[in-house]
Amino acid sequence: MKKLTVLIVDDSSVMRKIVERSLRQSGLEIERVLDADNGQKALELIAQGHPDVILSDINMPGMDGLEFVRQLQGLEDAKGIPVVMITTEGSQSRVMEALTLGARGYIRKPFTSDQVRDQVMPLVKGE
Amino acid sequence: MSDSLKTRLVFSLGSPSAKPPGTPTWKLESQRWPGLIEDAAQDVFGTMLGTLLVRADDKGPPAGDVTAMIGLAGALVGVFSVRCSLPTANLLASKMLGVDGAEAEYAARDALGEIANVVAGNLIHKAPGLNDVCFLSTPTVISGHDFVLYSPANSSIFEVPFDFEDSRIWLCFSSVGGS
Repeated sequence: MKKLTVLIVDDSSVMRKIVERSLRQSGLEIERVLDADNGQKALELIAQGHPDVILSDINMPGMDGLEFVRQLQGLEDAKGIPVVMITTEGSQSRVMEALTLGARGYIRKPFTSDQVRDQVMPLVKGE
Repeated sequence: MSDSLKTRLVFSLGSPSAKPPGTPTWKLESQRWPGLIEDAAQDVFGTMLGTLLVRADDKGPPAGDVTAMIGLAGALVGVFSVRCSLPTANLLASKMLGVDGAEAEYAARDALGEIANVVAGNLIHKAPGLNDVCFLSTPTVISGHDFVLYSPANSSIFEVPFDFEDSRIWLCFSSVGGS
């Protein structure tokens, strides 16, 4: 498996660091971590180069995680990038909406590095 | 500085718009709230900080320089807050992020806000029937100790003190109308 480029989207800088730390502790080979504090900035980063996987919060000011996934699916050359949603309250309706829009999995806070690995690993096998 | 000269911040709970017409009111017996708050908090501290809280007997009012607050709206309306001293917030950030010194101090307030956010989210998750009918605001973090949290007459306040390492952390939930 090649080393991964990961995009983390969360309005909390602390949570972005926690997600990055969990990824690095999970045993996944991480080459580069990109981050954005809302969906719009994430789309701008993706336009400059595709990450292998995206982990995105749902609740964010500006463009939230659901709208981000919706717009990502509209980008012909980027819609195949797997997205894992990170949720706080575990709202099943919002999670289901995200999965319907094209997200490939979700993690509820608080999470362990094992849970991050279990969600991300199947999505990047063969990369 | 005397009390009369201090500027006091007053926070008011219970905006009517927090519960649109027709939204069901969610209730929990008062005696179950402290246990629910503790369950929600222990998950978060165990997973994110690798440590557990110890319930304290102290019945004194919450104190400390840093308070993180999360608004709840929908079937349950109120404010969930986490309060502690700044050195304790630094320690929380250090354990959450694996950093020390200036880096932990820089992240301390955001870290406390994120803890409040995740504990409040876990509280909703653990409370039967609240998923999808109760929603969280983004965190607000207050620095300083001289403020008053004003609650309407129909509110209930649950304050649960914990020992964390050698310091004290208060987790509070002020519920408006229901509980």
